[in-house]
Amino acid sequence: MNRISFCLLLAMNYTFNQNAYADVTAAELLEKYDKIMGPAQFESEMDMTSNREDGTSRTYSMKALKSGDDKFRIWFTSPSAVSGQEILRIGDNSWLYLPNLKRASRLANRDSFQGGDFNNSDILRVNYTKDFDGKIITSEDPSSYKLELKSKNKDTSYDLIHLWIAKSNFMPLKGEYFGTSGKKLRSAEFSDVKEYSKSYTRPAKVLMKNEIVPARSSILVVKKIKIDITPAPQKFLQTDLGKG
Amino acid sequence: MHPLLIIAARNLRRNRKRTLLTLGALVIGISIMMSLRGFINAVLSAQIDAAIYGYTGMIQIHKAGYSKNVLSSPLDQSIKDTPELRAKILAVPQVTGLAPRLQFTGLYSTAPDSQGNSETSFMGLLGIDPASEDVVAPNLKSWTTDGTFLSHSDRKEIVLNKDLAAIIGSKINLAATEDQWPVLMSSDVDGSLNGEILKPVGLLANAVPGDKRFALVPLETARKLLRMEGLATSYLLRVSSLAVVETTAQNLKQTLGPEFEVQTWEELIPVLKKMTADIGRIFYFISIAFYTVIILGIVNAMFMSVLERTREIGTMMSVGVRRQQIVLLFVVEGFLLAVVGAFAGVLAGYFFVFLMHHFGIPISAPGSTFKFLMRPTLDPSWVLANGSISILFTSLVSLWPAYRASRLDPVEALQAT
Repeated sequence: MNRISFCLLLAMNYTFNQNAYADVTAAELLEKYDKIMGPAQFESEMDMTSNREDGTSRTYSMKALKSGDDKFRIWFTSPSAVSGQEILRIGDNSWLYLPNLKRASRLANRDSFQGGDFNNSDILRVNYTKDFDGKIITSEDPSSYKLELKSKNKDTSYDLIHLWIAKSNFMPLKGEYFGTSGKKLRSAEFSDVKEYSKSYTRPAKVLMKNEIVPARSSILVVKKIKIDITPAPQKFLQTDLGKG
Repeated sequence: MHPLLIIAARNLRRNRKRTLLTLGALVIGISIMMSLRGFINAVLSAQIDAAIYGYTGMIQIHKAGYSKNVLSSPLDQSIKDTPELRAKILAVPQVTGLAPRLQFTGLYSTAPDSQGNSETSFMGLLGIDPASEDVVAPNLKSWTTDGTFLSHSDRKEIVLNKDLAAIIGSKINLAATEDQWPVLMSSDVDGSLNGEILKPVGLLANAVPGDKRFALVPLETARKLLRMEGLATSYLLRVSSLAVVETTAQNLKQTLGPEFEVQTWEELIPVLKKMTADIGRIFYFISIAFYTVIILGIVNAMFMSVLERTREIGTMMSVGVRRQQIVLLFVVEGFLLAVVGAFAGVLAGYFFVFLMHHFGIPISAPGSTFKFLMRPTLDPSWVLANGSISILFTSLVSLWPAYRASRLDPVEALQAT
């Protein structure tokens, strides 16, 4: 009798586990996305190229440093028009430091990041678990999960996001971003998955297309990224802006 | 003079009280209508003047495609502000002034207070050259309610909308030092962020309805901020009078070619044209209602007259005056009344409008805090048409009592008491 019930228990346990592995939850997928696209802390070098409708493009190079959920800092290194500019994010506030004025001014999350098609929070605030409620919906592509993310607070720059995540390695594939009116504002493609270190792999390239002005798009390329670092806390003080 | 006219005039003079009452109705009616029209004309032209001389100018020139792309990236669609282009535009007949402007958007941040807090607001901005604006939009300056207007094209100054300044708590403190001045940030022509520390020198009243998140900065300062040296998003033009705006715009289109777009103030603010048409239509219906009441009063007075003069009509008929002549007599009486009434009414109306014009009526446009002195005016052709119509209708309606008088039976009429 005991033996039978033990076997049954074992069998049940096995079935449950199987289910858990087969059906990953939306919350787990979001957590994975956040870990890939915005690790808890990192130091990186990135290029953002914005392509404008008149056919011209401009590439901005920057260094970035992230610490925890709510601290982010960027140093722009080129072109000369923005060289020396810095951005600091602490929680819900972001500041832009202008070297010619030696003064930092507040930035809005929804504003465009250096005139490109990413907005400030796309770059400075990658934390979908905190900002969105996720739900898995049927994907057109059986090799991917499709997530529908609804904004939890009015501070987010999008009201609704559709996100496709690869079933094989949980890398993000593409995203569609909608405004409060239900209008599609942007769409993103994630590509060039690269292993930056043994413990960290992510798409090296994000192409953000402007759905309102279709001739516009921006590309973010992560050139270098290190996640096994301990950022110095003073780097996230307003008084440190302009000090390199 | 025709004997009928003399008799009619004599009849009118004989019953002075009634004639004066009837004339009074006409005079008061016509003069009120004229004053009302004058007042409405003043409201309309005050709005149009405020818009043209305080904001849009009479004509604007942009790079072709500017209006279509103004929401996405207006800075790309800029004009090279060269002396040659200016000379070419100023050579067009009737063009008397030109002012370049840079229209853009920016983020305004007040200087951090002792706790390090600052207020930030998004706003629409115009980079202007104060000297040229004096020619094309002279009223812009007069809207300064606190402090002063921008002093020179290349100063680091800003003039804010009064309501916006109140919202973000930006005060005009001319004694403030540079570290207390706000920062204006904007994306330059290539999209890169740039900023400038500016001194808030004055506040602007809401003179035209529209967005209150609005500020003015000197043109050269705006050019530096946007990295757009020698460029402008628009030219505002002044022409010799409002009447030649349309023809001058056509001439400009021909001179400048398809590379530029030329718009008149009516195209820039279509709501004003629509408002003028709508008010004209409403006034038309008010006029009909008003005249119906006046004319019914006159008809009533004439019926009274027929009733009172029954014996007289009987006498006239018995000595051989024909029925048509009776009709004619009453119609001529009505006509004489109408002519005298209309003239007196028009004179009185002009007098009232003159008084209102002379002293001016202070009023503010909807959605605005700025008071204008309205000066009512009248269009002479409108007065002529209105006077003629009132004469025509009064004479026509007098046919009715006249017909009734002509149908009287002479024997019964003579017996009437």
